[in-house]
Amino acid sequence: MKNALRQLRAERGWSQARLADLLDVSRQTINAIETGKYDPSLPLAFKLAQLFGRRIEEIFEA
Amino acid sequence: MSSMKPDRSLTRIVHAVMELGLAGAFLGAVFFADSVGARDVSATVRFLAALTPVAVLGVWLGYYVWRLRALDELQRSIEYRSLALAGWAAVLIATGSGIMTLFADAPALAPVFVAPIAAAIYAVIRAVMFWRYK
Repeated sequence: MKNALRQLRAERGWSQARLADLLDVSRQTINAIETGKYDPSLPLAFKLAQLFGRRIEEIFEA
Repeated sequence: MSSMKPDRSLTRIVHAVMELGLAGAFLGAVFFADSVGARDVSATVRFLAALTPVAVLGVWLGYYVWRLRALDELQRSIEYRSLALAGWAAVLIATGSGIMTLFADAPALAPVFVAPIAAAIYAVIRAVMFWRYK
């Protein structure tokens, strides 16, 4: 699944580790989502959306 | 907020050390039960000695479940998939061995070896999956 996570993270100047810390997940999970290897659960997608102030469909696209 | 959370790398090392310790305790308990079983002791003592490695396995299982709960969703998914594949592979190996023993008089695989075989397969699968999502 494609997503704009890397771009949104870069806009805020956050490292993967920083974002992982904010979401209480591992850096490995952030990296896997960014590279499209892993699709997050709905709760995690909501947390991401809330953190970036976007709707889920603005971050992820099928 | 972030400084209050334990470092994940450190946590991983602690878990690895704990699991190694439990594996060592299990092996020690097996040797202990074996040495007691070889002596001329009562059936009760032998039974209690044999329970030692089983008790360690119980602690190990409890620790593993506790550790699983602390993982995030990707890591937990990796663990579940590794466990499922390793469990199924171990069942197939045990069944295949049983068939070979039954029909071809091949040496029987003692049930005590099923768990170590499953653990080895699990470790390989988990390592591959962690590498894939690295």
